[in-house]
Amino acid sequence: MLKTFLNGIWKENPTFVIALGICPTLAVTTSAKNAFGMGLAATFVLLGSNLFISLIRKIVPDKIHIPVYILVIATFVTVIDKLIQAYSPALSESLGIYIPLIVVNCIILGRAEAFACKNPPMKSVADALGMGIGFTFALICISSIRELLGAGTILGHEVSFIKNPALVMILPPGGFFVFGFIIAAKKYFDSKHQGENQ
Amino acid sequence: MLKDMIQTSLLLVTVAALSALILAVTEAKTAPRIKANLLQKELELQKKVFPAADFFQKQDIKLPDPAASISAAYTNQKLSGAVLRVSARGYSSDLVMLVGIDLNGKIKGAEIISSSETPGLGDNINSEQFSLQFCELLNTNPEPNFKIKKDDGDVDAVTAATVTSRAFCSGIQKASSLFVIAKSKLSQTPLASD
Amino acid sequence: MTQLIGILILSIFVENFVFSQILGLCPFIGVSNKFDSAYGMGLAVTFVMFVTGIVTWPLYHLILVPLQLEYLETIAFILVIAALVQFVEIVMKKTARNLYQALGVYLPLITTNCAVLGVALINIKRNYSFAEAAVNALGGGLGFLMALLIMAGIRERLELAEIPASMKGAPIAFITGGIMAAAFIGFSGLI
Repeated sequence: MLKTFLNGIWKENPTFVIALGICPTLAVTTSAKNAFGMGLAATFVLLGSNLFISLIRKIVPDKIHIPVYILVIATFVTVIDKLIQAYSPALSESLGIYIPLIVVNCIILGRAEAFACKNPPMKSVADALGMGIGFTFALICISSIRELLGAGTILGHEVSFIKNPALVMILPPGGFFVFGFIIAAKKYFDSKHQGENQ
Repeated sequence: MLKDMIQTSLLLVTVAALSALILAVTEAKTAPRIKANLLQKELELQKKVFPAADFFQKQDIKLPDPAASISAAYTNQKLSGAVLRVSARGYSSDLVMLVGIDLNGKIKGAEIISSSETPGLGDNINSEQFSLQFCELLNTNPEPNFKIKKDDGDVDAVTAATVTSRAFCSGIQKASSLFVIAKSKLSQTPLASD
Repeated sequence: MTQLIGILILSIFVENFVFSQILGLCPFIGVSNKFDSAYGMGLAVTFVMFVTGIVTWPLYHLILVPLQLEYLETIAFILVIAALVQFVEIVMKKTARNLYQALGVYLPLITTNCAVLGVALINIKRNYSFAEAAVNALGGGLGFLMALLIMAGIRERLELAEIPASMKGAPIAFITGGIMAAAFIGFSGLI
Protein backbone atom coordinates (compact mmCIF):
# COMPACT_ATOMS: atom_id res chain seq x y z
CA MET A 1 0.00 0.00 0.00
CA LEU A 2 2.82 2.36 0.92
CA LYS A 3 4.49 1.45 -2.31
CA THR A 4 1.36 2.37 -4.26
CA PHE A 5 1.31 5.67 -2.44
CA LEU A 6 4.98 6.53 -3.02
CA ASN A 7 4.82 5.40 -6.62
CA GLY A 8 2.64 8.37 -7.53
CA ILE A 9 4.87 10.90 -5.84
CA TRP A 10 8.14 10.17 -7.58
CA LYS A 11 8.52 7.17 -9.84
CA GLU A 12 5.30 7.67 -11.75
CA ASN A 13 4.70 11.29 -10.90
CA PRO A 14 1.69 12.04 -13.08
CA THR A 15 2.98 15.39 -14.23
CA PHE A 16 6.69 14.96 -14.68
CA VAL A 17 6.82 11.41 -15.90
CA ILE A 18 3.62 10.60 -17.72
CA ALA A 19 3.11 14.28 -18.68
CA LEU A 20 -0.61 14.10 -17.99
CA GLY A 21 -2.80 17.03 -17.09
CA ILE A 22 -0.36 19.66 -18.31
CA CYS A 23 -2.92 22.35 -19.05
CA PRO A 24 -3.67 23.28 -15.44
CA THR A 25 -0.03 22.65 -14.63
CA LEU A 26 1.05 25.51 -16.83
CA ALA A 27 -2.00 27.73 -16.55
CA VAL A 28 -2.38 28.11 -12.79
CA THR A 29 1.22 27.93 -11.67
CA THR A 30 1.72 31.68 -11.67
CA SER A 31 1.97 31.70 -7.88
CA ALA A 32 2.57 29.00 -5.29
CA LYS A 33 -0.75 29.80 -3.61
CA ASN A 34 -2.76 29.12 -6.76
CA ALA A 35 -0.80 25.95 -7.38
CA PHE A 36 -1.51 24.67 -3.88
CA GLY A 37 -5.23 25.36 -4.24
CA MET A 38 -5.36 23.65 -7.61
CA GLY A 39 -3.42 20.66 -6.28
CA LEU A 40 -5.76 20.25 -3.32
CA ALA A 41 -8.86 20.52 -5.50
CA ALA A 42 -7.54 17.91 -7.91
CA THR A 43 -6.53 15.62 -5.04
CA PHE A 44 -10.02 15.85 -3.58
CA VAL A 45 -11.59 14.92 -6.91
CA LEU A 46 -9.09 12.12 -7.43
CA LEU A 47 -9.79 10.67 -3.97
CA GLY A 48 -13.55 10.81 -4.42
CA SER A 49 -13.62 9.41 -7.92
CA ASN A 50 -11.06 6.68 -7.26
CA LEU A 51 -12.88 5.50 -4.15
CA PHE A 52 -16.31 5.58 -5.73
CA ILE A 53 -15.27 3.95 -8.98
CA SER A 54 -13.43 1.25 -7.10
CA LEU A 55 -16.58 0.56 -5.07
CA ILE A 56 -18.80 0.18 -8.12
CA ARG A 57 -16.19 -1.48 -10.35
CA LYS A 58 -17.93 -4.86 -10.26
CA ILE A 59 -21.40 -3.72 -11.25
CA VAL A 60 -20.50 -1.37 -14.12
CA PRO A 61 -20.55 -3.18 -17.47
CA ASP A 62 -17.70 -2.47 -19.82
CA LYS A 63 -19.93 -0.84 -22.41
CA ILE A 64 -20.89 2.14 -20.30
CA HIS A 65 -17.88 2.56 -18.06
CA ILE A 66 -16.67 5.81 -19.65
CA PRO A 67 -19.97 7.72 -19.27
CA VAL A 68 -20.31 6.49 -15.69
CA TYR A 69 -16.76 7.58 -14.82
CA ILE A 70 -17.26 10.98 -16.42
CA LEU A 71 -20.49 11.43 -14.49
CA VAL A 72 -18.79 10.54 -11.20
CA ILE A 73 -15.81 12.80 -11.85
CA ALA A 74 -17.96 15.74 -12.98
CA THR A 75 -20.04 15.43 -9.81
CA PHE A 76 -17.01 15.64 -7.55
CA VAL A 77 -15.60 18.53 -9.57
CA THR A 78 -18.82 20.53 -9.25
CA VAL A 79 -18.89 19.87 -5.50
CA ILE A 80 -15.35 21.15 -4.97
CA ASP A 81 -16.01 24.08 -7.31
CA LYS A 82 -19.00 25.18 -5.23
CA LEU A 83 -17.11 24.65 -1.97
CA ILE A 84 -14.22 26.81 -3.14
CA GLN A 85 -16.61 29.50 -4.33
CA ALA A 86 -18.30 29.49 -0.94
CA TYR A 87 -15.30 29.27 1.36
CA SER A 88 -12.45 30.79 -0.60
CA PRO A 89 -13.81 33.28 -3.12
CA ALA A 90 -10.37 34.75 -3.80
CA LEU A 91 -8.98 31.38 -4.84
CA SER A 92 -12.01 30.70 -6.97
CA GLU A 93 -11.45 33.99 -8.75
CA SER A 94 -7.82 33.34 -9.53
CA LEU A 95 -8.33 29.74 -10.66
CA GLY A 96 -11.39 30.62 -12.75
CA ILE A 97 -12.43 28.07 -15.34
CA TYR A 98 -9.52 25.82 -14.49
CA ILE A 99 -11.51 24.33 -11.61
CA PRO A 100 -14.38 23.01 -13.77
CA LEU A 101 -11.72 21.95 -16.23
CA ILE A 102 -10.45 19.39 -13.70
CA VAL A 103 -13.16 17.21 -15.29
CA VAL A 104 -11.06 16.77 -18.38
CA ASN A 105 -7.76 16.49 -16.53
CA CYS A 106 -6.38 13.29 -17.96
CA ILE A 107 -4.86 12.29 -14.60
CA ILE A 108 -8.25 11.69 -13.07
CA LEU A 109 -9.87 9.68 -15.85
CA GLY A 110 -6.51 8.02 -16.39
CA ARG A 111 -6.30 6.75 -12.80
CA ALA A 112 -9.91 5.59 -12.92
CA GLU A 113 -9.18 3.58 -16.05
CA ALA A 114 -5.77 2.32 -15.13
CA PHE A 115 -6.11 1.68 -11.41
CA ALA A 116 -9.41 2.19 -9.63
CA CYS A 117 -11.45 -0.07 -11.88
CA LYS A 118 -9.15 -3.01 -11.15
CA ASN A 119 -8.25 -2.55 -7.50
CA PRO A 120 -10.03 -2.66 -4.12
CA PRO A 121 -11.11 0.63 -2.47
CA MET A 122 -8.30 0.99 0.08
CA LYS A 123 -5.62 0.49 -2.52
CA SER A 124 -7.36 2.92 -4.87
CA VAL A 125 -7.43 5.55 -2.15
CA ALA A 126 -3.70 5.10 -1.58
CA ASP A 127 -3.14 5.48 -5.30
CA ALA A 128 -5.28 8.61 -5.41
CA LEU A 129 -3.41 10.13 -2.47
CA GLY A 130 -0.05 9.38 -4.02
CA MET A 131 -1.01 10.73 -7.41
CA GLY A 132 -2.75 13.75 -5.90
CA ILE A 133 0.21 14.67 -3.73
CA GLY A 134 2.56 14.03 -6.62
CA PHE A 135 0.52 16.39 -8.76
CA THR A 136 0.41 19.04 -6.04
CA PHE A 137 4.14 18.67 -5.48
CA ALA A 138 4.80 19.16 -9.19
CA LEU A 139 2.57 22.22 -9.31
CA ILE A 140 4.30 23.76 -6.31
CA CYS A 141 7.76 23.13 -7.80
CA ILE A 142 6.87 24.82 -11.06
CA SER A 143 5.00 27.69 -9.48
CA SER A 144 7.72 28.48 -6.94
CA ILE A 145 10.27 28.83 -9.72
CA ARG A 146 7.93 30.96 -11.83
CA GLU A 147 6.88 33.12 -8.91
CA LEU A 148 10.47 33.71 -7.86
CA LEU A 149 11.70 34.59 -11.34
CA GLY A 150 8.61 36.35 -12.60
CA ALA A 151 7.38 38.31 -9.61
CA GLY A 152 10.42 38.22 -7.31
CA THR A 153 8.44 36.72 -4.45
CA ILE A 154 8.36 33.47 -2.48
CA LEU A 155 4.84 32.60 -1.31
CA GLY A 156 3.94 36.24 -1.78
CA HIS A 157 6.86 37.57 0.29
CA GLU A 158 9.32 39.75 -1.54
CA VAL A 159 12.90 38.61 -1.64
CA SER A 160 15.79 41.02 -1.74
CA PHE A 161 18.09 39.31 -4.22
CA ILE A 162 15.84 39.66 -7.23
CA LYS A 163 15.61 43.29 -8.17
CA ASN A 164 14.03 43.17 -11.59
CA PRO A 165 11.80 40.12 -11.96
CA ALA A 166 11.20 38.98 -15.53
CA LEU A 167 7.47 39.35 -16.02
CA VAL A 168 7.57 36.86 -18.87
CA MET A 169 8.04 34.02 -16.39
CA ILE A 170 4.52 34.39 -15.01
CA LEU A 171 3.10 34.83 -18.49
CA PRO A 172 2.29 31.71 -20.54
CA PRO A 173 5.77 31.37 -22.15
CA GLY A 174 7.40 31.14 -18.72
CA GLY A 175 5.24 28.12 -17.94
CA PHE A 176 6.39 26.33 -21.06
CA PHE A 177 10.06 27.11 -20.39
CA VAL A 178 10.10 26.07 -16.75
CA PHE A 179 8.18 22.88 -17.43
CA GLY A 180 10.41 21.99 -20.38
CA PHE A 181 13.57 22.41 -18.32
CA ILE A 182 12.18 20.50 -15.35
CA ILE A 183 11.25 17.41 -17.37
CA ALA A 184 14.60 17.59 -19.15
CA ALA A 185 16.37 17.68 -15.78
CA LYS A 186 14.37 14.74 -14.48
CA LYS A 187 15.16 12.77 -17.61
CA TYR A 188 18.84 13.60 -17.22
CA PHE A 189 19.03 12.49 -13.58
CA ASP A 190 17.05 9.34 -14.25
CA SER A 191 19.32 8.31 -17.11
CA LYS A 192 22.43 9.00 -15.00
CA HIS A 193 20.99 7.00 -12.13
CA GLN A 194 20.25 4.09 -14.44
CA GLY A 195 23.78 4.25 -15.81
CA GLU A 196 25.21 3.89 -12.30
CA ASN A 197 23.02 0.91 -11.52
CA GLN A 198 24.12 -1.06 -14.52
CA MET B 1 -30.20 -8.74 -24.91
CA LEU B 2 -33.21 -6.72 -23.81
CA LYS B 3 -32.58 -7.54 -20.18
CA ASP B 4 -29.01 -6.43 -20.61
CA MET B 5 -30.11 -3.13 -22.06
CA ILE B 6 -32.58 -2.47 -19.28
CA GLN B 7 -29.98 -3.28 -16.69
CA THR B 8 -27.45 -0.95 -18.29
CA SER B 9 -29.90 1.93 -18.58
CA LEU B 10 -31.09 1.41 -15.02
CA LEU B 11 -27.54 1.64 -13.76
CA LEU B 12 -26.87 4.82 -15.73
CA VAL B 13 -30.08 6.38 -14.45
CA THR B 14 -29.20 5.48 -10.87
CA VAL B 15 -25.74 7.00 -11.10
CA ALA B 16 -27.12 10.13 -12.74
CA ALA B 17 -29.87 10.48 -10.13
CA LEU B 18 -27.35 10.01 -7.34
CA SER B 19 -25.03 12.67 -8.71
CA ALA B 20 -27.94 15.07 -9.26
CA LEU B 21 -28.94 14.55 -5.64
CA ILE B 22 -25.42 15.21 -4.35
CA LEU B 23 -25.17 18.34 -6.48
CA ALA B 24 -28.56 19.66 -5.43
CA VAL B 25 -27.57 19.29 -1.77
CA THR B 26 -24.21 20.99 -2.35
CA GLU B 27 -25.88 23.80 -4.24
CA ALA B 28 -28.45 24.33 -1.51
CA LYS B 29 -25.74 24.40 1.16
CA THR B 30 -23.32 26.70 -0.64
CA ALA B 31 -25.54 29.06 -2.63
CA PRO B 32 -26.36 31.46 0.23
CA ARG B 33 -22.71 31.67 1.20
CA ILE B 34 -21.60 32.32 -2.36
CA LYS B 35 -24.17 35.07 -2.67
CA ALA B 36 -23.10 36.60 0.64
CA ASN B 37 -19.47 36.50 -0.50
CA LEU B 38 -20.33 38.41 -3.64
CA LEU B 39 -22.29 41.03 -1.72
CA GLN B 40 -19.52 41.38 0.84
CA LYS B 41 -16.97 41.84 -1.89
CA GLU B 42 -19.14 44.40 -3.64
CA LEU B 43 -19.43 46.38 -0.40
CA GLU B 44 -15.68 46.33 0.16
CA LEU B 45 -15.07 47.56 -3.36
CA GLN B 46 -17.69 50.28 -3.03
CA LYS B 47 -16.01 51.45 0.18
CA LYS B 48 -12.69 51.49 -1.64
CA VAL B 49 -13.88 53.75 -4.46
CA PHE B 50 -15.95 55.95 -2.14
CA PRO B 51 -14.30 55.91 1.30
CA ALA B 52 -16.40 58.77 2.70
CA ALA B 53 -19.70 56.92 2.43
CA ASP B 54 -20.94 54.35 4.94
CA PHE B 55 -23.94 52.86 3.17
CA PHE B 56 -24.68 51.95 -0.40
CA GLN B 57 -27.97 51.10 -2.02
CA LYS B 58 -28.62 49.96 -5.55
CA GLN B 59 -30.89 52.36 -7.43
CA ASP B 60 -33.52 51.31 -9.89
CA ILE B 61 -32.73 53.90 -12.54
CA LYS B 62 -32.77 53.20 -16.23
CA LEU B 63 -29.43 54.18 -17.74
CA PRO B 64 -28.72 54.60 -21.44
CA ASP B 65 -26.08 51.88 -21.17
CA PRO B 66 -27.78 48.56 -20.30
CA ALA B 67 -24.54 47.10 -18.93
CA ALA B 68 -24.14 49.89 -16.36
CA SER B 69 -25.79 50.17 -12.98
CA ILE B 70 -25.74 52.76 -10.23
CA SER B 71 -25.78 52.63 -6.44
CA ALA B 72 -26.38 55.67 -4.29
CA ALA B 73 -23.78 56.36 -1.59
CA TYR B 74 -24.89 57.73 1.76
CA THR B 75 -22.95 59.38 4.56
CA ASN B 76 -24.90 59.56 7.83
CA GLN B 77 -28.17 58.77 6.08
CA LYS B 78 -27.64 61.59 3.60
CA LEU B 79 -26.98 61.24 -0.10
CA SER B 80 -23.32 62.00 -0.73
CA GLY B 81 -22.69 60.61 -4.18
CA ALA B 82 -22.91 57.43 -6.21
CA VAL B 83 -20.96 54.41 -7.22
CA LEU B 84 -21.34 53.39 -10.83
CA ARG B 85 -20.61 50.01 -12.28
CA VAL B 86 -19.61 50.36 -15.91
CA SER B 87 -17.87 48.19 -18.41
CA ALA B 88 -15.29 49.38 -20.85
CA ARG B 89 -13.73 47.61 -23.77
CA GLY B 90 -10.27 46.26 -22.99
CA TYR B 91 -8.34 44.46 -25.65
CA SER B 92 -9.47 40.99 -24.91
CA SER B 93 -12.75 41.43 -23.12
CA ASP B 94 -14.82 43.90 -21.20
CA LEU B 95 -13.32 45.42 -18.10
CA VAL B 96 -15.95 45.78 -15.43
CA MET B 97 -15.15 48.63 -13.06
CA LEU B 98 -16.60 50.59 -10.19
CA VAL B 99 -16.30 54.37 -10.13
CA GLY B 100 -17.15 56.50 -7.09
CA ILE B 101 -18.40 60.02 -7.80
CA ASP B 102 -19.50 62.68 -5.31
CA LEU B 103 -22.42 65.04 -5.76
CA ASN B 104 -20.25 67.65 -7.49
CA GLY B 105 -19.32 65.11 -10.11
CA LYS B 106 -15.81 64.68 -8.74
CA ILE B 107 -14.23 61.24 -9.11
CA LYS B 108 -13.42 59.77 -5.69
CA GLY B 109 -11.90 56.53 -6.82
CA ALA B 110 -12.06 53.75 -9.36
CA GLU B 111 -11.33 50.07 -9.27
CA ILE B 112 -11.42 47.26 -11.80
CA ILE B 113 -13.48 44.36 -10.50
CA SER B 114 -13.20 41.81 -13.20
CA SER B 115 -11.00 41.51 -16.17
CA SER B 116 -9.77 38.62 -18.15
CA GLU B 117 -6.99 40.60 -19.69
CA THR B 118 -3.77 38.71 -20.24
CA PRO B 119 -2.85 37.39 -16.81
CA GLY B 120 0.14 39.29 -15.54
CA LEU B 121 -0.10 42.14 -18.01
CA GLY B 122 -3.42 43.89 -17.50
CA ASP B 123 -3.19 42.87 -13.86
CA ASN B 124 -0.70 45.65 -13.34
CA ILE B 125 -3.48 48.14 -13.52
CA ASN B 126 -4.83 46.88 -10.22
CA SER B 127 -1.46 47.14 -8.57
CA GLU B 128 -0.76 49.51 -5.72
CA GLN B 129 1.39 51.64 -7.96
CA PHE B 130 -1.39 52.47 -10.32
CA SER B 131 -3.91 53.18 -7.57
CA LEU B 132 -1.33 55.40 -5.93
CA GLN B 133 -0.58 57.44 -9.03
CA PHE B 134 -4.31 57.64 -9.60
CA CYS B 135 -4.93 58.99 -6.08
CA GLU B 136 -2.08 61.47 -6.38
CA LEU B 137 -3.51 62.72 -9.62
CA LEU B 138 -6.87 63.24 -7.94
CA ASN B 139 -5.23 65.14 -5.09
CA THR B 140 -2.97 67.41 -7.09
CA ASN B 141 -5.23 68.14 -10.01
CA PRO B 142 -8.80 68.96 -9.12
CA GLU B 143 -10.07 68.42 -12.63
CA PRO B 144 -7.77 66.02 -14.37
CA ASN B 145 -8.28 65.04 -17.95
CA PHE B 146 -8.99 61.34 -17.71
CA LYS B 147 -7.10 60.23 -20.74
CA ILE B 148 -3.72 58.61 -20.88
CA LYS B 149 -0.75 60.80 -21.80
CA LYS B 150 -0.44 59.18 -25.21
CA ASP B 151 -3.93 60.56 -25.92
CA ASP B 152 -3.06 64.04 -24.53
CA GLY B 153 -4.49 63.37 -21.09
CA ASP B 154 -3.07 63.43 -17.56
CA VAL B 155 -2.90 59.74 -16.68
CA ASP B 156 0.35 57.78 -16.88
CA ALA B 157 -0.44 54.53 -18.63
CA VAL B 158 0.78 51.38 -16.94
CA THR B 159 3.84 50.01 -18.69
CA ALA B 160 2.83 47.19 -21.02
CA ALA B 161 -0.85 47.83 -20.42
CA THR B 162 -1.60 50.85 -22.56
CA VAL B 163 -4.81 49.44 -23.92
CA THR B 164 -6.06 48.49 -20.50
CA SER B 165 -5.11 51.92 -19.16
CA ARG B 166 -7.03 53.52 -21.98
CA ALA B 167 -10.05 51.34 -21.25
CA PHE B 168 -9.79 52.34 -17.60
CA CYS B 169 -9.93 56.03 -18.51
CA SER B 170 -12.81 55.56 -20.91
CA GLY B 171 -14.67 53.73 -18.15
CA ILE B 172 -14.25 56.72 -15.84
CA GLN B 173 -15.51 59.09 -18.50
CA LYS B 174 -18.47 56.87 -19.20
CA ALA B 175 -19.26 56.76 -15.49
CA SER B 176 -19.21 60.52 -15.10
CA SER B 177 -21.46 61.09 -18.09
CA LEU B 178 -23.93 58.51 -16.79
CA PHE B 179 -23.80 60.14 -13.36
CA VAL B 180 -24.90 63.47 -14.82
CA ILE B 181 -27.94 61.78 -16.34
CA ALA B 182 -28.89 59.85 -13.22
CA LYS B 183 -27.98 62.37 -10.54
CA SER B 184 -31.42 63.96 -10.12
CA LYS B 185 -33.10 60.58 -9.80
CA LEU B 186 -31.02 59.33 -6.87
CA SER B 187 -33.02 58.81 -3.71
CA GLN B 188 -32.04 61.45 -1.11
CA THR B 189 -32.19 59.12 1.88
CA PRO B 190 -31.71 55.38 1.99
CA LEU B 191 -34.91 53.42 1.43
CA ALA B 192 -35.90 50.98 4.12
CA SER B 193 -34.69 47.63 2.94
CA ASP B 194 -36.64 44.46 3.44
CA MET C 1 -20.50 42.47 -37.65
CA THR C 2 -17.23 44.22 -36.71
CA GLN C 3 -17.79 42.84 -33.24
CA LEU C 4 -17.91 39.29 -34.63
CA ILE C 5 -14.82 39.76 -36.77
CA GLY C 6 -13.11 41.17 -33.70
CA ILE C 7 -13.99 38.09 -31.70
CA LEU C 8 -12.77 35.83 -34.51
CA ILE C 9 -9.36 37.52 -34.65
CA LEU C 10 -9.26 37.63 -30.89
CA SER C 11 -9.88 33.92 -30.51
CA ILE C 12 -7.45 32.88 -33.25
CA PHE C 13 -4.50 35.14 -32.45
CA VAL C 14 -4.74 37.28 -29.34
CA GLU C 15 -6.26 34.67 -27.10
CA ASN C 16 -4.97 31.62 -28.86
CA PHE C 17 -6.16 28.61 -26.87
CA VAL C 18 -2.78 26.96 -26.79
CA PHE C 19 -0.43 29.87 -26.37
CA SER C 20 -2.30 32.37 -24.29
CA GLN C 21 -5.01 30.39 -22.50
CA ILE C 22 -2.89 27.26 -22.18
CA LEU C 23 -5.68 24.85 -23.03
CA GLY C 24 -5.49 21.66 -25.06
CA LEU C 25 -1.83 20.98 -24.39
CA CYS C 26 -2.02 17.19 -24.23
CA PRO C 27 -2.82 16.79 -27.94
CA PHE C 28 -0.62 19.79 -28.72
CA ILE C 29 2.44 17.97 -27.42
CA GLY C 30 1.16 14.46 -28.13
CA VAL C 31 0.34 14.57 -31.83
CA SER C 32 2.50 17.42 -33.07
CA ASN C 33 5.44 15.25 -34.02
CA LYS C 34 4.01 14.38 -37.44
CA PHE C 35 2.56 16.94 -39.79
CA ASP C 36 -0.20 14.68 -41.14
CA SER C 37 -1.52 13.61 -37.78
CA ALA C 38 -1.36 17.20 -36.53
CA TYR C 39 -3.49 18.25 -39.48
CA GLY C 40 -6.05 15.51 -38.83
CA MET C 41 -6.26 16.21 -35.11
CA GLY C 42 -6.48 19.96 -35.66
CA LEU C 43 -9.37 19.60 -38.11
CA ALA C 44 -11.23 17.18 -35.84
CA VAL C 45 -10.85 19.51 -32.85
CA THR C 46 -11.94 22.56 -34.84
CA PHE C 47 -15.04 20.73 -35.97
CA VAL C 48 -15.98 19.43 -32.53
CA MET C 49 -15.28 22.79 -30.87
CA PHE C 50 -17.51 24.61 -33.32
CA VAL C 51 -20.38 22.16 -32.84
CA THR C 52 -19.87 22.27 -29.06
CA GLY C 53 -20.11 26.06 -29.11
CA ILE C 54 -23.36 25.87 -31.05
CA VAL C 55 -24.92 23.18 -28.86
CA THR C 56 -23.87 24.27 -25.37
CA TRP C 57 -25.09 27.86 -25.71
CA PRO C 58 -28.79 26.97 -26.12
CA LEU C 59 -28.37 24.19 -23.56
CA TYR C 60 -27.26 26.71 -20.96
CA HIS C 61 -29.42 29.71 -21.83
CA LEU C 62 -32.62 27.91 -22.88
CA ILE C 63 -32.63 24.94 -20.53
CA LEU C 64 -30.37 25.32 -17.50
CA VAL C 65 -31.05 29.00 -16.77
CA PRO C 66 -34.88 28.85 -16.93
CA LEU C 67 -34.82 25.78 -14.69
CA GLN C 68 -32.32 27.42 -12.32
CA LEU C 69 -29.97 24.51 -12.74
CA GLU C 70 -26.86 26.54 -13.56
CA TYR C 71 -24.89 24.46 -11.11
CA LEU C 72 -25.21 21.51 -13.46
CA GLU C 73 -23.30 23.29 -16.22
CA THR C 74 -20.02 21.38 -15.90
CA ILE C 75 -21.72 18.01 -15.80
CA ALA C 76 -24.14 18.86 -18.60
CA PHE C 77 -21.42 20.22 -20.86
CA ILE C 78 -19.07 17.30 -20.47
CA LEU C 79 -21.83 14.79 -21.12
CA VAL C 80 -22.95 16.71 -24.18
CA ILE C 81 -19.39 16.83 -25.47
CA ALA C 82 -18.89 13.11 -24.90
CA ALA C 83 -22.17 12.30 -26.64
CA LEU C 84 -21.40 14.74 -29.43
CA VAL C 85 -18.03 13.21 -30.14
CA GLN C 86 -19.61 9.77 -30.29
CA PHE C 87 -22.37 11.07 -32.55
CA VAL C 88 -19.97 12.79 -34.91
CA GLU C 89 -17.97 9.61 -35.09
CA ILE C 90 -21.00 7.51 -36.05
CA VAL C 91 -22.32 10.00 -38.60
CA MET C 92 -18.92 10.43 -40.17
CA LYS C 93 -18.44 6.69 -40.41
CA LYS C 94 -21.73 6.30 -42.31
CA THR C 95 -21.63 9.35 -44.57
CA ALA C 96 -18.07 10.52 -45.04
CA ARG C 97 -15.83 7.50 -45.16
CA ASN C 98 -12.75 9.35 -46.36
CA LEU C 99 -13.00 12.00 -43.70
CA TYR C 100 -13.58 9.31 -41.10
CA GLN C 101 -10.51 7.44 -42.15
CA ALA C 102 -8.48 10.61 -41.85
CA LEU C 103 -9.88 11.84 -38.51
CA GLY C 104 -11.35 8.71 -36.97
CA VAL C 105 -8.52 7.81 -34.65
CA TYR C 106 -8.41 11.28 -33.11
CA LEU C 107 -12.10 11.63 -32.36
CA PRO C 108 -12.24 9.65 -29.09
CA LEU C 109 -9.31 11.67 -27.73
CA ILE C 110 -11.18 14.93 -28.15
CA THR C 111 -13.59 14.33 -25.27
CA THR C 112 -10.79 14.94 -22.81
CA ASN C 113 -9.32 17.89 -24.70
CA CYS C 114 -9.72 20.78 -22.31
CA ALA C 115 -9.95 23.31 -25.13
CA VAL C 116 -13.38 21.92 -26.03
CA LEU C 117 -14.90 22.13 -22.56
CA GLY C 118 -12.95 25.36 -22.10
CA VAL C 119 -14.60 27.10 -25.02
CA ALA C 120 -18.06 26.17 -23.73
CA LEU C 121 -17.26 27.55 -20.27
CA ILE C 122 -15.63 30.72 -21.61
CA ASN C 123 -18.65 31.46 -23.81
CA ILE C 124 -20.88 31.36 -20.73
CA LYS C 125 -18.48 33.27 -18.51
CA ARG C 126 -18.10 36.15 -20.98
CA ASN C 127 -21.83 36.30 -21.50
CA TYR C 128 -21.52 36.00 -25.27
CA SER C 129 -24.60 36.06 -27.49
CA PHE C 130 -25.29 33.01 -29.64
CA ALA C 131 -23.52 34.41 -32.70
CA GLU C 132 -20.55 35.54 -30.65
CA ALA C 133 -20.32 32.15 -28.96
CA ALA C 134 -20.34 30.35 -32.31
CA VAL C 135 -17.66 32.63 -33.74
CA ASN C 136 -15.52 32.30 -30.61
CA ALA C 137 -15.75 28.51 -30.80
CA LEU C 138 -14.84 28.47 -34.49
CA GLY C 139 -11.95 30.87 -33.97
CA GLY C 140 -10.71 28.88 -30.99
CA GLY C 141 -10.65 25.74 -33.12
CA LEU C 142 -8.88 27.45 -36.01
CA GLY C 143 -6.33 28.91 -33.61
CA PHE C 144 -5.72 25.45 -32.20
CA LEU C 145 -5.30 24.03 -35.71
CA MET C 146 -2.84 26.78 -36.56
CA ALA C 147 -0.81 26.25 -33.39
CA LEU C 148 -0.66 22.52 -34.02
CA LEU C 149 0.45 22.95 -37.65
CA ILE C 150 3.19 25.47 -36.81
CA MET C 151 4.42 23.24 -34.04
CA ALA C 152 4.40 20.12 -36.22
CA GLY C 153 6.35 21.94 -38.92
CA ILE C 154 9.00 22.98 -36.42
CA ARG C 155 9.20 19.60 -34.75
CA GLU C 156 9.73 17.73 -38.02
CA ARG C 157 12.90 19.75 -38.47
CA LEU C 158 13.89 19.55 -34.82
CA GLU C 159 14.12 15.77 -35.16
CA LEU C 160 17.22 16.29 -37.29
CA ALA C 161 18.84 18.75 -34.92
CA GLU C 162 21.52 17.62 -32.54
CA ILE C 163 20.44 18.35 -29.00
CA PRO C 164 21.32 16.80 -25.63
CA ALA C 165 19.66 13.41 -25.21
CA SER C 166 17.68 14.45 -22.16
CA MET C 167 16.16 17.37 -24.08
CA LYS C 168 14.77 15.16 -26.84
CA GLY C 169 11.04 14.71 -27.20
CA ALA C 170 8.72 16.50 -24.82
CA PRO C 171 11.25 18.90 -23.16
CA ILE C 172 12.35 20.55 -26.38
CA ALA C 173 8.72 20.62 -27.56
CA PHE C 174 7.77 22.61 -24.47
CA ILE C 175 10.63 25.05 -24.87
CA THR C 176 9.74 25.55 -28.53
CA GLY C 177 6.14 26.10 -27.43
CA GLY C 178 7.39 28.69 -24.94
CA ILE C 179 9.18 30.65 -27.62
CA MET C 180 6.05 30.56 -29.76
CA ALA C 181 3.91 31.66 -26.83
CA ALA C 182 6.29 34.58 -26.35
CA ALA C 183 5.84 35.46 -30.01
CA PHE C 184 2.07 35.34 -29.58
CA ILE C 185 2.23 37.93 -26.81
CA GLY C 186 3.00 40.27 -29.66
CA PHE C 187 -0.62 39.99 -30.75
CA SER C 188 -1.95 41.38 -27.49
CA GLY C 189 -3.23 44.87 -27.90
CA LEU C 190 -4.25 44.12 -31.48
CA ILE C 191 -7.91 44.61 -30.67
